[in-house]
Amino acid sequence: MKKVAIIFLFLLLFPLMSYCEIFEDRLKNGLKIIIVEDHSSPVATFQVWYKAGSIDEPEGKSGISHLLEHLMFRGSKRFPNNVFSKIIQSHGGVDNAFTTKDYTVYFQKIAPSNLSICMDLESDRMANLLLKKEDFELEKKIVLEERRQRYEDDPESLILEEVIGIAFKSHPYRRPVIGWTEDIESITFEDVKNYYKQFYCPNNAFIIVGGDIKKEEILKKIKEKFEKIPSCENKIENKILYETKQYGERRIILKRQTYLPMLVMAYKVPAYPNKDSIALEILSSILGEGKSSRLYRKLVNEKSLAVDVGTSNSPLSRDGFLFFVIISIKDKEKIHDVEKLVKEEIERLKTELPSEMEIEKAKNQVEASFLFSQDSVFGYSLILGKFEILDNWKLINQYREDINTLTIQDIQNAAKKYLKEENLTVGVLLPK
Amino acid sequence: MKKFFTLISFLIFLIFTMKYNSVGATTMEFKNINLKNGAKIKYLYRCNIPIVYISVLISASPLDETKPSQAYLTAHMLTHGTKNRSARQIEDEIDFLAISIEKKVTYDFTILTLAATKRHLREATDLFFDILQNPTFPEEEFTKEVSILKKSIKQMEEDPSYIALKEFLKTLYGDHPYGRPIEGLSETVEKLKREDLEEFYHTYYKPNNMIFSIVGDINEKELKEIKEKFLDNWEGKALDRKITPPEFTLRNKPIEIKIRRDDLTQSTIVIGFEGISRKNPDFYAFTVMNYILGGGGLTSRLAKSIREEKGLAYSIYSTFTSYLFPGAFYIEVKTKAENTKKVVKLITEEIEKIYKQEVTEEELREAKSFLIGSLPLRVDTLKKISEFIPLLDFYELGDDYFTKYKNYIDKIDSKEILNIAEKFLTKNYILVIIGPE
Repeated sequence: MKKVAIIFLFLLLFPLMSYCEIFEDRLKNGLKIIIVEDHSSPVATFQVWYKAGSIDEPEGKSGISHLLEHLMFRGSKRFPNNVFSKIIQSHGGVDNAFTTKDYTVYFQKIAPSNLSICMDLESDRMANLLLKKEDFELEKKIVLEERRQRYEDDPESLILEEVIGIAFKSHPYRRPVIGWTEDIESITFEDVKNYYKQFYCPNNAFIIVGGDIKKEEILKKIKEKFEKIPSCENKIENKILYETKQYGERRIILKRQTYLPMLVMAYKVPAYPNKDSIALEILSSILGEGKSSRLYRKLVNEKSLAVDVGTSNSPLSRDGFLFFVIISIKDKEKIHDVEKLVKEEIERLKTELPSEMEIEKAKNQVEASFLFSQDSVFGYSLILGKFEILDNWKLINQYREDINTLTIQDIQNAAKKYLKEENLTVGVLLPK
Repeated sequence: MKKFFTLISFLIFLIFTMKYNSVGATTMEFKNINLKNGAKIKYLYRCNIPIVYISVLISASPLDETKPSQAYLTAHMLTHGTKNRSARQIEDEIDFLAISIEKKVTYDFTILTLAATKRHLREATDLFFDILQNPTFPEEEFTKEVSILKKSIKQMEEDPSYIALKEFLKTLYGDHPYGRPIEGLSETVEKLKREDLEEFYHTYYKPNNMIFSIVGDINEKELKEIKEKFLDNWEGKALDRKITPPEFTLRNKPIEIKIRRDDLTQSTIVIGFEGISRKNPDFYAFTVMNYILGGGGLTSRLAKSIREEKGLAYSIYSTFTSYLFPGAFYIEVKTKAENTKKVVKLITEEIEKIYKQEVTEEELREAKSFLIGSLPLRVDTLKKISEFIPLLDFYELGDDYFTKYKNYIDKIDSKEILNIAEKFLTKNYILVIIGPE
């Protein structure tokens, strides 16, 4: 009966989840175009996604994807001398980029009438990036400053970097996106040039354009600007990714100047389209999302041991990543008590089925997050892009169907299968 | 991220137009409803997604406090118990209905924003108006929140940016409320009593002190129901605010404050001056000047000089805060400790340059193009609209402000920018450095 109830509820919720029209096309050089027509606001976003993240980096060169991202702003053949942002801003737009473990995205938010400027800039830097030695040296310095600011001087980020670093033994996910200092220093100008040549090609990228636009008009312009760019000569081979077996719990203790101790528990979990990844989404909601979640109730309200509790899962990854439980603890003497309580709550998930109320709550949250993400065409385009990185943006529909058919038993099975010692890495941040 | 996001001043204080001349031009035609009890409603119907935002701006802030943390904790304790619901029941409902109730306290006002799906709108509004109208501030919950707040402030006090800004504002404003963090101070938070919150609430959380915005998939009939059920019969009147402007002390020489933190690899540098109030006519010239100097992301003079040309920092920006009373203008940068002096010198050179020489025509043109052209981006979601439109009334900008903004920026010339820079940036600066020896 429970299964029937959940499916029924979701059929009610999900038939009308997308409130804008989405089209796709592929150019002759392999570049895929996704167009999101959303006329609710007179703005547009242009995003170029490259399937090149830290997962793709050669051994010893961690941070090269991110360093190249910085260099992409320094100039291309038609637009030399660091003028990208200047051009976009002087047309009333904003631009930026970000690198993740799985991909790198360049984006603009701009008036729809100025989209052709984005196309000019993005097509030129896809085909003709001007890599200059002096820019390379400057950006390396800037990235090292970024690393100091975001990691070395920030203990909470550093403990996460350390946990990820030991959770994986052989898998490239162990490497930080920004790169280790020694690796950043060892990257050569030639390395960056080769990396650009290997990964920044139309058949390893896709474009998402969203906003108050007309698809025919946009597609025609994109073809004019991008179709001439040649595909990569050597087809990019998918690396064989694997992680060696873990035999027991791993642990890192970091002592830094901080006031609140922090406990990080990270379990290795699968990525979508493995259905267990969705069951883990529901588990994350039950355990640690919101003030009515089990861990928040137990640790913040009942026991007054913690200041805050959170859980997170990243199903939209190119390979299985980590399910995190993160807790800011009031008193360093109580860290073991907190860890014990978290483990007890996790065991309870394996022996008792979650209540129907908890499942319905989790699903209400999924529904709301789908709807609210569409308040911003930029944000919605990012979600579509994450599915496209996995295979195809249309997976978003399958994702909804998969949630529809999820049972309470699936949720419990996922807890049993993944939330166990042999998948666990614990990080403890202690005040020095 | 390539860029540390530095267009901060726009994100916070820029005022936007919705008149928009391009493909798919739209205008934001909201309705104003003034209630007998003094509450105002700004209503905008948008049905493209079945979601609704309701914001309420309350004229209550640290400016009205008798003790630090009073405004902050009053807002945050609203969801910790009402005459009808316990704290746990409220949390259960918020999570179950997948709604959110955000509480933001600024130096001038408090704003609460409810976000709900249309499907759960009725339950969500019941809850939202219950926490707004019937909070009870239970003792046990209050004690827990104070304990959590104290620990959280202590944790924030480990963050060099937090410390640097806190020291800068304290030096600039002295004992004025603008001179202390909105959430209060770790050393005073425990002096607060639950009765202080109750008193603050009963003094300021009155309908005549509130501006509502209701935005999204909610039709006029539904709006009327909300108005009749929750607002029309709500009685009570807040007295006029008794708020006092800050008194700035003349500095005969620059003030330099250094706080040693040997655990850090970088120095965090904050350098700044007195700024302007939101109602000051110089606001627009100041906006353009700030964009050119350090508010314009990687294209600003400071970013070019310190980051792009020399690689001395990842993040550098200038920003200004404009409130009912004059805010602050400051620059923040983080750099490897050994470069601290060099970076301070480069900043002071750029400050000097902008008050000694007129900005170029190209700089002026580009700044104006950005400021005018990017306006629709500042209100491109229902949430941004909902949180923005109450400010039109609060800062007395007028509903036609949207159409006027272009002219306000367009008319600025390089002489005005020079005058503004001379007026505000030639004083002796306050410099705070947090970092290793």
